[in-house]
Parts: sequence; structure tokens; C-alpha cells
Amino acid sequence: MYTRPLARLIDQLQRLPGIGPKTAQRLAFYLLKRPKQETLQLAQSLIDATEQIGVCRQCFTLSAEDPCDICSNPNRELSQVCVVAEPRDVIAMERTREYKGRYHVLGGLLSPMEGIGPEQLKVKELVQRVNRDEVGEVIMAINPSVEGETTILYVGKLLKPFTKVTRLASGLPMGGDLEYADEMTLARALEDRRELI
Amino acid sequence: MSRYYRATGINLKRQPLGEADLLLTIFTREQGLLKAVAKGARKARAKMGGRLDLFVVNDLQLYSGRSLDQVVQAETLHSFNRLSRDLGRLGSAQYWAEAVLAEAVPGQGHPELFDLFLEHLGRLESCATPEIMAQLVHGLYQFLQVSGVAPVVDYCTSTGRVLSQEAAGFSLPLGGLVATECLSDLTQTQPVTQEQVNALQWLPQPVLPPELLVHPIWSDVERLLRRYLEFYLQRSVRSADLLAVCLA
Ligand SMILES: [Zn+2]
Repeated sequence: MYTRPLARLIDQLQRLPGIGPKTAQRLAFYLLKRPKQETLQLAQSLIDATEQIGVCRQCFTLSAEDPCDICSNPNRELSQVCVVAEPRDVIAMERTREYKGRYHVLGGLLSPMEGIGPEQLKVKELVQRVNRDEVGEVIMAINPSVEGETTILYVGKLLKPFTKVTRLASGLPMGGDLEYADEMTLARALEDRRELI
Repeated sequence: MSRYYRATGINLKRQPLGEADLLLTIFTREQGLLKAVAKGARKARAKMGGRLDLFVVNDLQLYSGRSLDQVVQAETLHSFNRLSRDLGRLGSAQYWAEAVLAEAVPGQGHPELFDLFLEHLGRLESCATPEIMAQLVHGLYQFLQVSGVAPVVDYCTSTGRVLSQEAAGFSLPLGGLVATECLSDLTQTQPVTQEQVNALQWLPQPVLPPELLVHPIWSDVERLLRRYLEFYLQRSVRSADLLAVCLA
């Protein structure tokens, strides 16, 4: 039906989240109709992003530099670490402009049913870091879902002998993603954080 | 025929789908397991947000779509939110969910299992912390029992002889206890102590005796039941790996 490179493009687009066959077809035709230069720029940014972005070996967020901008910034508090599930949660926290410490990206949430245990996440690295950097407070910025609570309680249990562990105040959207919380709500949840008991 | 229908269900699995949707696996009283999508559920202002968390029981309004059914409305009947008090409860509930997911069938209601699951989640939520292991094992056995696949604990599965207060063996292929005199002829069988037999024989009862609720025996029985479950399901129970950490 499609000429071969077009079929391949549609097939690739279709693998993206939230994109069905219809949308993939529409996008493909749109890309081909645009000025060639613009579409080539898009292709180049895809290549650049894929080739240049890796993870920061200190906080495990996505970054072109290692260590990332936050980890290498001397003005960011070394003694405060905010633990999040995904790199996009770092962006959400940064948008509040309230947080002056560092981050640690776990790379997911504990989900025993899915077979995601502590070994699949950057938990061991967090414990090492807390000890090495003499971290005074770990803030768990994780949404209160069942997997989120499991992660907060588990990581909290591991860290409590070494440091103070707090969690964001309630008021965050239950079950929603952290990234969808608005800055005000997130800033307030950070301000009113409470210690894990 | 209306394409809308209602069901009472408990959320057992949630996976992100697309930009902000959720794909839910719901165990319903009326039609067993069903998969349904909740549009926009991951957004902060989503009306249904918290109602779609695991172990929340909802009165659901669904729409049967061409490929996937859709959750149109969810009215929460019960949320076991006190499970979040500690890791032991959260871990046990997820362990059970794995067993229930394996027993429940899509499109086929299993009201007895549904009611029993909710009943035991309630007990898990309110029991004292040292009782969690006993409740976990008891619930697990009860779910297998109501599904007709529980291991035999009152007689020898090889000879049919009734077993009383005595040491015995546990045979995976025969699916339950065997008398000690049969032990030598059987493979994949492990010896069990008199105390373990006693604990196993309590499991078919609707409640455990108070003096057994806090007892180290349940860790052994859990391992035994897990091996049985894994043999029967032909795969590992993933949640069980985290259990040691959760209950430590
Ligand atoms: Zn970094």
C-alpha cells in the first residue's frame, strides 16, 4: 500500500506511546509535506538526543553532561537529596523553584507484582551516596500510590539509621503523576513535608 | 443492547498507557477479570485519580469499546488505605493479588473468591503487626480453597489415610500431605514436622485460633505454600521475593 520508506516511517511512529495507526499515518504525511530542511532538523535532533544524552552517574537523571548541571552546581545543597521515581519528576520539582538541594532518580517504583525489586532500581547507590556525602535529609518526592508507598516505606526503612527521611505532604494528586501536579501544589507539598515515622 | 454496563471491582494492576491514560486490570464480582482503560487518569486534576489505585473497590460504570473497555465512572465503595501503614501489609496484599490474578478468569464471575479476598484484605488492614504472616498464609490458603485448588491437608494424598497430630510429608505432584510411610516412594516430596501439619490443618477453617496468630511456624508454612503455588502455576511468585524485606 505504502512505498517502502513511508511504510517504515509509519511503523516507527506507531511504536510511540499514544500513537495509533491513523495518527502515525497523518504524522508521516505531514512530515513529508513540510520543507525538507525542517524535517531533516527533526531527524538530526533525534540523532543528537539519542547519541548525546546519557545518565548522570551521581543522580541518574538524563543529562548530556556527567555529572549533570545540578550535581556540578556548588550552590546546590549537598546535604539534601530529593528522591524521585523518574527523570521527568526532577523537571517537575525544578519548576517549583523552591528546592535548592540535589536529586536521586530511582528509575521506577518498587512493584513486587511486576518483579521490580530494589535491585532493578538505584537503591543501593542511594544508600552509598547518603553515607558518602553525609546527607542530612532525604526527601521522598513520590506519589502516594500503592507502589509509591511501598517504595517510600522500603527506602525509608533502609535510610532511617543514617539520616532524616521526610516525605512530601499530602495534597498531591492521589494516583496522578508527579509531573502533572502544578507548581504551587508541589511547592506547598515540599514546604509542608513531614518526617517518616 | 446498551454498550454501557456496571460492575463492582477491585483494582489489581495499573499500567500507564499513552500520554496520561491508565490501563487497569480489575477483578470484578460479576465478570471476573477485566481490562479497561481510564482516560486521562494520570493527570493531576483527574476526577478518578485516587479511585484507580490498587486495592480500591469501586462501583464502576463501563463502556464496552471496540478494542478496550473504558471506565466511565468510578464510585469508591471501599479503599483499604490502612494497608499503607507498613511494608508488611502492602507486601502481603500484593502477594495475594498475584495469587488472585492467577485464579480469576476473564469474563467469568467468581463472587466467592471476590468476597473472600475483600474479607481478608480487611483483616490484613486491621490485624496487629506480628499477626501479618499468619493472616497472609491463611488468606492465601483460603483463596486456593475457594478456587478448588488448595493442597490437601487432612489425609494422605497417596493412600487416603486420615492424618492426625503427626509428622508427615508434603508432595508437590500429589498436591498435599502424604503419610510418613509413603515418603520414601515419592519424588518432589519434603518432610513436614508435626507442628507444621497442625498449622496446615487449621488453614481450611474460616478463622485461625488466637493462640496461633503470632507464631514463627507461619514463615515455614508460607515457604511450603509458595513452593506449592509455584509448582501449580509453573512460574515464580514475584511478590514473595520482597516479602522477607517487607516483614523484616
Ligand atoms: Zn546529577
